[in-house]
Amino acid sequence: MQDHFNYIIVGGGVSGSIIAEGLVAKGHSVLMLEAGKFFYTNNYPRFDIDSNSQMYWNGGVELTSDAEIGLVRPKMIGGGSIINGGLLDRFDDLAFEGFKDESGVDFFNNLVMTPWFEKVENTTSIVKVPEKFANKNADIFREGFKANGFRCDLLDRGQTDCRNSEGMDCIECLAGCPINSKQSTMITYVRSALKQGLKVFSEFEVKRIEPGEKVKVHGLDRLDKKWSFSADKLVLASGSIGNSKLLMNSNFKNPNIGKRFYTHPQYMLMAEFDYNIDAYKGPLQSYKSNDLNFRRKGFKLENVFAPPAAMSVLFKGIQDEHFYCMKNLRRFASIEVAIRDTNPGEIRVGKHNKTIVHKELDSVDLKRRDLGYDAIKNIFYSQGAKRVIEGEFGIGLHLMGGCSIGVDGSQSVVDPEFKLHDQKNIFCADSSIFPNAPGINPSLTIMALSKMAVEKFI
Amino acid sequence: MKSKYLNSFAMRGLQKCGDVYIPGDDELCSFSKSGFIKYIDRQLENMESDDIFGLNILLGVFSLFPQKLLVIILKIASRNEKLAKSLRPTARLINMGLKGLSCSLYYSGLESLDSSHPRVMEKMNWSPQRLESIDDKELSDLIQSNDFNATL
Ligand SMILES: Cc1cc2nc3c(=O)[nH]c(=O)nc-3n(C[C@H](O)[C@H](O)[C@H](O)COP(=O)(O)OP(=O)(O)OC[C@H]3O[C@@H](n4cnc5c(N)ncnc54)[C@H](O)[C@@H]3O)c2cc1C
Repeated sequence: MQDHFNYIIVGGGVSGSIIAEGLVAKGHSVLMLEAGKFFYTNNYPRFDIDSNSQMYWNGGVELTSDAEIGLVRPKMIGGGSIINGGLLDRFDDLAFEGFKDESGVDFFNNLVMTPWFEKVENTTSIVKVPEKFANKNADIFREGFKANGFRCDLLDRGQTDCRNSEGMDCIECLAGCPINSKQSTMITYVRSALKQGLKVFSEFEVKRIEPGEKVKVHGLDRLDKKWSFSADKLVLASGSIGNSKLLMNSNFKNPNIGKRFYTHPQYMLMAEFDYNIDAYKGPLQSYKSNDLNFRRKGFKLENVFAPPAAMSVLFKGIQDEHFYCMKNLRRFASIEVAIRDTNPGEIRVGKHNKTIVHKELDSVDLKRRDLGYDAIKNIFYSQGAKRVIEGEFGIGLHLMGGCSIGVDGSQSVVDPEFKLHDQKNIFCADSSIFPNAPGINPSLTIMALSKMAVEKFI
Repeated sequence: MKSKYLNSFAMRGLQKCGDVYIPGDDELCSFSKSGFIKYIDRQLENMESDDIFGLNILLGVFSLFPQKLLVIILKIASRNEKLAKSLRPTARLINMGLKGLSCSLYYSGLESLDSSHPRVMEKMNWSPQRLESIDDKELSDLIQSNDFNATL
């Protein structure tokens, strides 16, 4: 087996897929090492317990140290793009200004980034979620917005034809889209990279890297057998937690590693109606808030739902109180508030390589959440909700930071050319480089930055 | 019922805790009656060994408690916002861990052992439609030839 490559990429998620495709297209030999499996239409799990245990780290959810937020960390080729909502939004000026102020990096503005967004959009079908299939959960959101004088808009989603008219319910594609409509990077980049000779080692967890003229990478396969590979250059694409842990476990001394961790904590509120909502029907999500007032105040709303196993952990209480909600799940609508968190968290490695994440909401963040709660309650009650239930805990889906980008090597981990400050041949352009929370769905920008990194710098 | 990951005390503890979250009624069976616990290894197969160790201890201790005491403990755990700040993380961990474990088994759409209602989700009329999966032979072939894992 070949053991030296021009490039090794650790992590085959959103960023890793794009960088891999870009590198093999330039004629380089590339090895992608990914801890998770190759999931695609032929083998997506059909039951929630299987998708939770097989498609995420540590069996589904990892809790922050105060157990307030459940972090959901994808684990498979394609990473988050296989199981995520598929919502693809460009950053606005506010998000880029926040990035530029924090990092000092010049290219964080819409003028420079627009061509990179366009390059991604040319390879990914992004459409407005078709309004004609909006379900009752979405109707309540839209009408509640109108009744309260808020502004909302249809969501932009990476999809081709979800065939909702033939009965497809997109809640099913949270464990992978069976009809290849959702634009995962498996469809848009990995397939093409494989055709051009990308080598992959799936179910391979990288444990340690050794910097040098040739970077060495050590890890374990699914049978716990040790392997080592080397490369002229290494690309870290294992996400916020993955990259931070790997660098710490490899004794990298930069004190900024693992710091500035953000998640856009999301809180779902459920409202009971006296008729069936059937939130699972058709598109899972249709609308987002598009309200400057909300944006300025630091939160956004989306209509959303989740499969029953996930909803069950959000409902409070025990015995009949909880059982009633689950039995009557069809009568519940749900809206989430995602906050643009300002208080950074920190990733550490505990005993036995356990992930430890300290992440608390400070008073600013709590205020943002509470303003979101008020707006959601007003929306629901204006539409005749019998009662509104706050979800039991926060969810962290947008894991960002930990290896933040910046011009100042004493304050950041990655330089403006996507190279680790103190290294010659180790690069990174994934979610871990975010210097703070943009308050906007991150995937499209991760893709644009990865595209820029691979075409200009790596 | 045997598990690769949970010992027999822990399995008993899980049955008891499951019934606190899913007591059952005329239409839907309780957690313990459903027999869903038989799928527990599918759920735990990728959990970290430290967490499984912790689960065995917690559920093992809970298996010794009378059901009424368990109800009180899990009620307190679920009302954790009223507890002292230092106790809240542990309470939340217990609440979410045990609720998550039993409810994921029960509400995942698997077939129960209870012949009167084998499909809980159907009984709840929760019935999302899924179109037939595309057979992606091209990708399948590419994976076979390019993934080192396929050759192990
Ligand atoms: C349920 C859910 C819904 C979401 N919805 C949206 C949405 O609608 N829109 C949006 O913009 N964003 C969404 N997100 C967030 C988005 O998916 C992530 O921001 C994005 O996937 C991050 O990309 P990445 O390349 O940084 O990391 P990832 O895509 O997470 O990829 C990292 C990969 O590295 C692998 N890895 C980690 N450590 C190692 C190691 N040591 N060795 C080998 N491999 C390793 C992981 O297994 C993983 O596959 C959602 C996320 C979730 C979980």
